[in-house]
Amino acid sequence: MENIILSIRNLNAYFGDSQVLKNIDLDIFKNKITSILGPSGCGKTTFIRCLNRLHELVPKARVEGEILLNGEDIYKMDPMIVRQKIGMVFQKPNPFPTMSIYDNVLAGYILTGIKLTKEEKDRIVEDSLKKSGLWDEVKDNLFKRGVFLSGGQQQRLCIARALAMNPEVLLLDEPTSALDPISTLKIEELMIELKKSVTIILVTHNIGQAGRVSDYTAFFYLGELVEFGTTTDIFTTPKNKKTEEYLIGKIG
Amino acid sequence: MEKEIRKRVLIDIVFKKIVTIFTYLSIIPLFLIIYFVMARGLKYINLRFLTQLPKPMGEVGGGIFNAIVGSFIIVGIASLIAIPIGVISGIFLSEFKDSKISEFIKILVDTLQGIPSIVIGIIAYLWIVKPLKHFSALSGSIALSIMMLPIIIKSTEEILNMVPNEIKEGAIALGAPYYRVVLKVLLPYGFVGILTGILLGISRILGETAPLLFTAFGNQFLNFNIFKPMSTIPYVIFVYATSPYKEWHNQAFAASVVLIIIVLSINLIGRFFEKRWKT
Amino acid sequence: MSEILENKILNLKEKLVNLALLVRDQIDKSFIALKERDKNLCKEVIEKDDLIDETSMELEKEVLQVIATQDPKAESLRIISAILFDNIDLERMADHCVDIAEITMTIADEPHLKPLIDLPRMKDICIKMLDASIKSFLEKDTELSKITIEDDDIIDDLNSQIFRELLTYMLEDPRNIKRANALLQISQHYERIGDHITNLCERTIYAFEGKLIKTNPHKPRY
Repeated sequence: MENIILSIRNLNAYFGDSQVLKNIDLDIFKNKITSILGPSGCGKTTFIRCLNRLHELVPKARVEGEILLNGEDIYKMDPMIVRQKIGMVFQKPNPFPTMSIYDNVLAGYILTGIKLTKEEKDRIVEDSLKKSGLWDEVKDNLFKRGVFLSGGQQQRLCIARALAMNPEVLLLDEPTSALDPISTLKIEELMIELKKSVTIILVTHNIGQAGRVSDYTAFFYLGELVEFGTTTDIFTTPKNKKTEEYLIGKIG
Repeated sequence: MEKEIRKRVLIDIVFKKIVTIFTYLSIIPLFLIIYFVMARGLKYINLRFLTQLPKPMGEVGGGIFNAIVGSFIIVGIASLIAIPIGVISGIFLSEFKDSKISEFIKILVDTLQGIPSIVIGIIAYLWIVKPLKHFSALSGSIALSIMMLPIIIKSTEEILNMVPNEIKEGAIALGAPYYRVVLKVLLPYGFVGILTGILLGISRILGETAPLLFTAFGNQFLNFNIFKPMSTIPYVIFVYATSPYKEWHNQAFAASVVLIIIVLSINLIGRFFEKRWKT
Repeated sequence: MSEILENKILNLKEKLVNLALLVRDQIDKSFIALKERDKNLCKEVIEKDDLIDETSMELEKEVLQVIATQDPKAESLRIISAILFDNIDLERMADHCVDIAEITMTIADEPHLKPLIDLPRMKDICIKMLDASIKSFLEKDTELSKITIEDDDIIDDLNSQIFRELLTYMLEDPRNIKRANALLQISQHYERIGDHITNLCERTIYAFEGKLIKTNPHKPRY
């Protein structure tokens, strides 16, 4: 039986008066890749931004419901601790332009004021860059600034940066939509390797990607969770008509 | 058909020529001023001029050393006051751009920018010079800092507005508390831009004369005490130029050249940083 | 090919080989059951077929899942498609083994009509062809497939031979008809098994050479 690491109960999210997520009930399994699929505007990005409490920072945004990480409600935790345990990689690679590659990887520690010895820093940088498959390409240029890398490398740097904090869950918001096909493939293979050590939630509008890498799929439509199941089941025998329509390209 | 095209091409050429001519026309006054001042003042600049104190009328020579020092001190203190307040206000306006307070502050800043410098000088006179019963460099600094503030606030705000949202979100998503996002990400990102704004602010107030007339006044002697009157370059230009002595007129021109060179240098440094930042 | 897809295909191939081994076993056992007139072994073969059907359905489901989630193209697609159809041929072959066992049950109580000479040869060739076809698929050896297809002619010839021989037995004595007919049917089942294996080989050639080959259906008996 799979472990449940994240439990979402009755999640409702609002922007001012407009309701963006309705009564979401979902379980995320540990060390698996769960993909969140759906047409534009279905609420999938809002959903993961609730998971790391980024949604509430937007003016007039509101969240109701429970999100339990290993049983603890993240809305009762310090938001900064939540964000250290639930990391995020964004659609557009966003390494900090004024920091070197080395510092970028350690940015989580720099920004939260955690002090590390030089040995610890070196070790974390090497481990994280190895995990994200970037080490060999940058190990001789660690002190150059991160913005000189290609798009795919920048994104892997952002992944290394998120991994350096040892999160339990990694949220990936359309991580490859701004990248070329080869970088996309590299990152897909990376995800499969990474799920051994971290749980991954992947928002994507690329149905093929969801099929290729994810173990579980959640289909969102107009702010509601329409269907959830193993990717193989959803892709071969979806139970809901809307799910099927989305998969074959009729909607979205 | 051919006639139409030729007509259009002709209009295009004429239009471009007009734009070019008017551009040159607008620069001409600037060159004329610089030329005029340089022609009258350059020959009086020498090491003595720059390093000696003014001599009383009647004696030959003398310099504006105390004015140069004074300008640096007063502008320096004004910067020390205006920079922290200005940068922090700029950060506030950029981060909370939707709030009513921000809108209110923006209106205030715009108004402040529009107040004539002499009015600011008078206000500083009423607030500081009168209570303390004498002119002081400090009051001059305060007046100048009030004039610097809008420039620094606006440029800081604009620079920070240009920080891409994803950089900010990236920092927050790592679990950073707000002040660290500002200190470690936003400010470094906008550092050069903010610096440019500061340099431009400095170069602006270096030449302000009117407020100093009521606040720092002037001082024949070299003075490092900020609670006492202090000489500044614009001040001596004013005094010498309006005096009846030809000697002093020459010195006024020379001082003008010095001021122009200092302001030009700071501007150039500012532009240099701006170019570097843009790459 | 991406590593993800490669691993999935490897997994499917493994499952196909497992199925083929089960079928190979059924071919062997059903023959032994015939030779030894062992009714218990016949029952075993018949019951084992449930497992084979289950395994086959599982494999079909998995192939569909891989197609749905991995969107394979070109050679990957042809390999996966080959596995999907090979699955069907193997399952039919297993069905033929069950039929052989059921027929054996009807004559097991009587002594053999004649010593079995050609039938074991047919069975051996079937086993040899099955081994070769699977090997050629796994090793992408289309030449081996082409050679194996030729063995089917031998099976067809043996089938004709058995028919002519058993015909004489039936004409000789009406009491032989039941047993002769049974052996005749069994021979036809082996012949069909050979045809199925030929399909496996043809598909392997298509998968790796992209060429569709349709050899002639079994030679006419008369």
